[in-house]
Amino acid sequence: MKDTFFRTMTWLHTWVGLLVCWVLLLVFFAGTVSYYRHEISLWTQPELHKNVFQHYQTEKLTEQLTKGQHYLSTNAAHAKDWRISLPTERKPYLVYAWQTQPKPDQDYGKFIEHIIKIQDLGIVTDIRDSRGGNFFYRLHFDLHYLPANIARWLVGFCTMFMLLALISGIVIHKRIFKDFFKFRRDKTNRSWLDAHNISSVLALPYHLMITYTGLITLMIIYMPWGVLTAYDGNVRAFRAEVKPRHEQVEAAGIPTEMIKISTLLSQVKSFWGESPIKQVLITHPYDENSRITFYKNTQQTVTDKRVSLVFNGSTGKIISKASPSPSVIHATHDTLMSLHTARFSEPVLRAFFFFCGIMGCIMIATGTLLWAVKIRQKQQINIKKGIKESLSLRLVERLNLIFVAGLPLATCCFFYANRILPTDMINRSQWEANSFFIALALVGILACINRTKASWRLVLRTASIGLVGIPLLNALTSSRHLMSNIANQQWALVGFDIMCALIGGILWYASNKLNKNANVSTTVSRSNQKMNRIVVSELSTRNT
Amino acid sequence: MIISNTMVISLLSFSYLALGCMALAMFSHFRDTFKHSPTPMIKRGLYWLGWIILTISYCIAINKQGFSYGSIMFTGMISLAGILVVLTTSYWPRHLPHFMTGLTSLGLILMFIN
Repeated sequence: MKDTFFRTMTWLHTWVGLLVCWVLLLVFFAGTVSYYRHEISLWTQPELHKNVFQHYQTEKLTEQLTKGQHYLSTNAAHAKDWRISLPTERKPYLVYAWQTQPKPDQDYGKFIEHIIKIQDLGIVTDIRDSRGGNFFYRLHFDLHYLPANIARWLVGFCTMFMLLALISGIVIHKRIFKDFFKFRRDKTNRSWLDAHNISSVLALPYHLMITYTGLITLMIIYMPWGVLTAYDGNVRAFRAEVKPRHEQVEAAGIPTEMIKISTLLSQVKSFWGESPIKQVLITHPYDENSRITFYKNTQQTVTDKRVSLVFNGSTGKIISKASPSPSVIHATHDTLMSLHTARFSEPVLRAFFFFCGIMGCIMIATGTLLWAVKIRQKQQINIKKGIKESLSLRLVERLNLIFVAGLPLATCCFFYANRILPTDMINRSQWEANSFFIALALVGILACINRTKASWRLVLRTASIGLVGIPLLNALTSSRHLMSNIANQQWALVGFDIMCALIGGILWYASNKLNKNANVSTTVSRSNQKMNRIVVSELSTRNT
Repeated sequence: MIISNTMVISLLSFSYLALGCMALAMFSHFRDTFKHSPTPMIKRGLYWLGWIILTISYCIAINKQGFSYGSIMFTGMISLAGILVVLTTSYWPRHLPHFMTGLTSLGLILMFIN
């Protein structure tokens, strides 16, 4: 404890923030990128870029379901379940997929997806093995290389610290309203502090919401005792009660005929009206206990719940209707969850979420850079005398270079690996992920050798050239290019290319700024660059 | 529920106007912009004008997009508008009133076209 409340809070804010900021930056960055998870996945599967995309068409439903049922019963009669995924706004293609029977010691079988081309042009069966946007989504809470439960605890720990840092930050920011719009440029560490303050204060509702709801998403892991006591340690029973969809019937083992799925459409329509259907799931096909579940596309409703209708697959009788209105606690939890995942948001709101996420990244990055700048100033006299910087300063400066400058480069490497690695490579998707971390490790080695502005410049410029080259890479390695995507109105792909190029351009601009102000400090140019980056990336995401 | 992009741009420009007024209600920003000091009357007027415009745009947002969706959208919108105001006050303070009038007219036109 320090002598006053204010100083205690300042101490808390500094050390709590500094301790976890690099993991937090990784988590925040991955989370922000995964707002565009499906768009990234689309880009990383160039096999789908031609003759596949279509809109949801109510009049074609019967045909699509009938063909799907026929296709699946000829190709996957013995599967554990079938899935027919209809085109949605963010996954604009028709999928017939199935899960093979799991091996005795496994819970799940193999998932196989076939994507149907438009106008009966055929079927895409051969998609490259890639995690795409799901890599960033998993990285957000499972990290990588670590066992999931350890990683989740680690992320939860960092999140808790972030919440502490946010609250103590509000307490110590005395001029929160007076300096609301104040950004003093060209003033070294004053500018850093302003950038840190602005990025946190202006998006404060978002930061508080995302941190708190982040803890809520995994609350059963962090605080299991309530559930363990009430259900006698049986977490599965709890899950089944909270989310009845997890409750699965076992196959009866008695083969029966199945009804035609399309005949159920009129019943579905009587419950849901014209609302689009997202997916039809058929479990245990050709078994007496087969079930046909329709999932509704909930569109812009603020919910994370999967609204479903379940039918018996052999008789066509309805088994469970839309779930009854949930309890208050259930509804609150659902709303908090959906706020975190933002699945409900259409492109414009998604862009706002992305923008706020970038602000979070800037908040964390400027915070840790500010610390390094301040400590370096403190040690200035010693450094001039020829005494080495303290270990903590060296460590922090290295980690800053690795994470702040390295993350864009690593992301860029991931996209290049996705397109360049041979499609028949063994463990291909794993190597894509490895390339992300190899890039970070290379920056790490560089940071150990030299962490001056020259290194920052090198890393930023490499990332910049890579990102600007993304549209070219796309043109060379897929059947379409930027212009043809614009002509075909594939805005997700267009947005991806343009946004990468724009961010690349901004990184180049930033590295040039570093050159000019080489004597002042990296500080000013970096924060200017960040301010610009937010705005431009925001504008470019509008298109996606 | 269909959310039109022009409506979002209108609301964004109104938030910019509102936050711009609030920034001008502060002594230093006002002096940077107009090169003279504001009277207490002007300061208070701008401050409350900012709040009124902000409230009206929030009402429009929840009216057009529903309470929950509109509120979430509005929070994101004022974050972006705030950053735009910060950029204007630190790089082109003299042009803040011009941007405010320009954007507001654009917003109003888009709203009436809609």
